[in-house]
Amino acid sequence: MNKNGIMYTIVFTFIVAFVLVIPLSLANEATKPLVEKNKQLASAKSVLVALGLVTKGKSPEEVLSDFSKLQVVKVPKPASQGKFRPPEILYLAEVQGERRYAGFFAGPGLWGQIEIAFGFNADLTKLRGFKVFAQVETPGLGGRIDEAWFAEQFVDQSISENALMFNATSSSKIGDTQKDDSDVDGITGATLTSNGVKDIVNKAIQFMKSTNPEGAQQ
Amino acid sequence: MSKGRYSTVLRENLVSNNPILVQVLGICSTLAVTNSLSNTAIMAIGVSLATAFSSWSLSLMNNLIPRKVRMIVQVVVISFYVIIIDILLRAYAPDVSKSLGPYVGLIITNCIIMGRAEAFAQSNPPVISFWDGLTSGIGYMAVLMGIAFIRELLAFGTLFNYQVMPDSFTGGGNNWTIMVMAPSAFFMVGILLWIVKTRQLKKTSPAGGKK
Repeated sequence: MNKNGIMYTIVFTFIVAFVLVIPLSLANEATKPLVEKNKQLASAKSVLVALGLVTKGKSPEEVLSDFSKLQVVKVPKPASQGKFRPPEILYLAEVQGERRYAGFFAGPGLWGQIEIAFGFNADLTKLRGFKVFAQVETPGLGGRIDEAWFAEQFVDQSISENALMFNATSSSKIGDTQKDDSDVDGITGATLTSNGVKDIVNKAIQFMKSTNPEGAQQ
Repeated sequence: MSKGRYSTVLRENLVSNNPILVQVLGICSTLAVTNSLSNTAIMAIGVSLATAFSSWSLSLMNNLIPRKVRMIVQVVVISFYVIIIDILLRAYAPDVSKSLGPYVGLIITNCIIMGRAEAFAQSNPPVISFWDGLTSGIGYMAVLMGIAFIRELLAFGTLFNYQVMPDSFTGGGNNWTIMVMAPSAFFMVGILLWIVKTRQLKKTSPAGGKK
């Protein structure tokens, strides 16, 4: 068959595509359960971290078991807030003698949705935890919201009136360590991502205050 | 195949025909990932493996590929290997996959892989094509790690995420913010290209080069 004829070209391309795509689909299917398990584990870990519970050094089974012990509180669905997505359930736990609530909040970042697990103390005066669960921001820039120093700024940070301020920052990996000034450092070179996170944080605070889960519980 | 041929390929891909500094390929990823040594290392390993296996496969298929669809077939083969790497990372190293994000898929568009497929794999046997792909990746890795070393050190004061510079450097705002962003990589690659080109010109010029 003429190598450069039409029939050969079509048959060849078809065979190559077939031969290459099949192993890819098989690999994808074969790893799906593992990917799903990773996702569940990451989700459970995010909630536990947001509540201020320890996950370091724990096996996946222990993490999932701790997660299943959390109390779940249903939250009434608010009026639509555009792209901001508040949770429909909150997780409740007593940590260090204090009742704490955590939930997943999502909002727009630069390239797509950013999903963050926040933890609050029951009277909503302090943030107890911050864990970015999902983001597709630019690696090395906006993607740095994943880093430990950034999240650490929010842990035990006071919430003044209604809002948390974001400062522009130097690119250090230290962040704003002051816990009672109700502000944190953003990320240099990642203005839009930082603004996205700022909006999610503040809308989450507003949501928690208007929903008042502790009040509803009593 | 003589040992000499293999070491020639190695030497060329690392130095005299370096993908980034001489062929000027793969610049986009150079600018994007080099503000972090760990991201750079993973990216470079991915590129090396993808280039090696793609060149090897394409060389095997050499005589079968119709001229009209040559590049299409190259892209399909390259995509295959890159997506396999992506699937494996997502399943077995989810944290790494998350930190690299979309950059893994973008390896498909890295000019080096296509460049080596066209320039070498097309007209050489499979095993040495594999070697050429691998060494091109290593040449790429060497330049990227060098740039990343400087960028991460000056931008964050860390190397592989370990704090190296004293607190007065980062805490006091003395770190180089520009090193966080792509333009710094532009300047560094530009300077490196300038040095390499000057030395090349000096070598080839009959009068020993003039200023």
